Amino acid sequence: MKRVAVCCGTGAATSTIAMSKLKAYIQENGLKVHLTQSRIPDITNRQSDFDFIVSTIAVPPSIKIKTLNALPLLTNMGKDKFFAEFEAALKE
Amino acid sequence: MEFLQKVVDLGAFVLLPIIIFLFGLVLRTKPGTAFRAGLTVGIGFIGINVIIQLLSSSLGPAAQAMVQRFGSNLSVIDVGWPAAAAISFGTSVGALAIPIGLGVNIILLIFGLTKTLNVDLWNLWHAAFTGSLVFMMTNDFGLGVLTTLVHTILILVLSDLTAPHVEKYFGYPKIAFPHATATPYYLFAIPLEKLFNSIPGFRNLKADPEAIQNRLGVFGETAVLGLILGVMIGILAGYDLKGVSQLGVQTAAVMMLLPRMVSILMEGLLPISEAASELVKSKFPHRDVYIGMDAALAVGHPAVIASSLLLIPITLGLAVLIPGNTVLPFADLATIPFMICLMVPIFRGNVIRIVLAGTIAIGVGLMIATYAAPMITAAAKTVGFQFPDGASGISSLVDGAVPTTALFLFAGKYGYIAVGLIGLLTLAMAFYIKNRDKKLVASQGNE
Repeated sequence: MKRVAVCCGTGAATSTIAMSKLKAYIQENGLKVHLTQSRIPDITNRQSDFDFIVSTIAVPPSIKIKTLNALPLLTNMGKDKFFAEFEAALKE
Repeated sequence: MEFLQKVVDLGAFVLLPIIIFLFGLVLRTKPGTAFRAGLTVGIGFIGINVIIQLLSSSLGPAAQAMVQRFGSNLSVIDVGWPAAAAISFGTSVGALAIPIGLGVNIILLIFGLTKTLNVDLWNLWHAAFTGSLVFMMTNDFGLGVLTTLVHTILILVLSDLTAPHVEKYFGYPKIAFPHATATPYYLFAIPLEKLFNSIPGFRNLKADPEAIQNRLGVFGETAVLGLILGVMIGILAGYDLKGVSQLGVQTAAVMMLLPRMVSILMEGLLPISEAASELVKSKFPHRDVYIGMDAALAVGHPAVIASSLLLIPITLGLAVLIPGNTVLPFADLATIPFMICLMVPIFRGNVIRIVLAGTIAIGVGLMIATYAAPMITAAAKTVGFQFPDGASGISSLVDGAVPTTALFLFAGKYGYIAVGLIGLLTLAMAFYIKNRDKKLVASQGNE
């Protein structure tokens, strides 16, 4: 199972929105993913625990693993494109 | 009146779910969804209270011991924004903040006085906060409601003003931050940037955020920050090894658990804010609107994080040095990024400038937080929150230290006329922006 970190600046605010939308999508499509809600500074030193990151904020260069921009989940604009990228990342 | 009192006596964790449920029905969410949303908000509210009690029982005595040892006067504990928010929504004025905020937003959109559609309903707690404090200070329910109303207008106007900077610097298209902690500092940063640019030598200093963040990396981790703060306070309190280590792990737990509890509350509000934004979008299909989001989108920027880390020890130092300050900064040390994030585009990510501006802002802010502490404490008592035994009261940097809090508290003292005047000035500003944009569009059309 792929492990995905869902991040924002606080680990409480916008990542909650991203989490709930990802969860709904995963359930609808019968995907198997392990999601962890966190904030970027908290996962910077344990990036190897995750396959990729879904982040609502811009990540610093110290993040080396693949990162998807979760902004479409917050604005509902470009959501389909985001989910296509998300599924592609799961298959990698 | 008696019935109303009985309803209020149910407590915020019963009242809030009922209000959310009814509000959800008004917005045409399914009854089941609205019910679950309300209940989840109530659960989140209780979760926050439990963690605050842990904070009280661990940090309270330590703060008291520290105060006795140093003879310093930091007896007001900064309980942080999650508690401040929960307290604000819990008062009878604060409970109305979401319907008021949404109503004001829709009216201003209709008249073209704002371009921001605030879908981030949770952050209306800032308007609930000032409204609640004015209500506590004056005991005038109407004045509290008016304060909340004026504050929501002010947030929207500031959001429109900052939106171009947000797009240019952070790269978020058509997104604005109607966030009452972050936006007022934008007005503070503009004159300061002019001043900085006029100082010879200083104006050429460059500061690279990545280098600073890499050096302090591990301190940015929530749990580690909590541990270090707890250990430091334990040592200052004169605790033995056992006491210091216990306090360290307890404060680390608080720092980690508090956002989790808030996240539950957010989860409950989510279907409601979704429904609200759907409704508004279907009513204004052809309007050019910014989507109003949480400023949390900006706080992950390296310049914001690096400056915030530097500001943590500075804030603690300021708390000790500033005469008359009684607030012991704690939980909101982690929220400093929100106070500075909209100054960052103005200073173009220059960490030296951001830290200097932040130092001034927080220095003044601590005095505001000291002044606001009795009102915040009173509000906390009315919603039944526990607070530290050793502490004389509670406060928070967010929004206790924010300039708008001072503005509304001073205005509240002079009653309806002063608060109303702020409202009129804000509306005048909104008209000015509307006309300016119209002229801009017209002149572009002529070319």
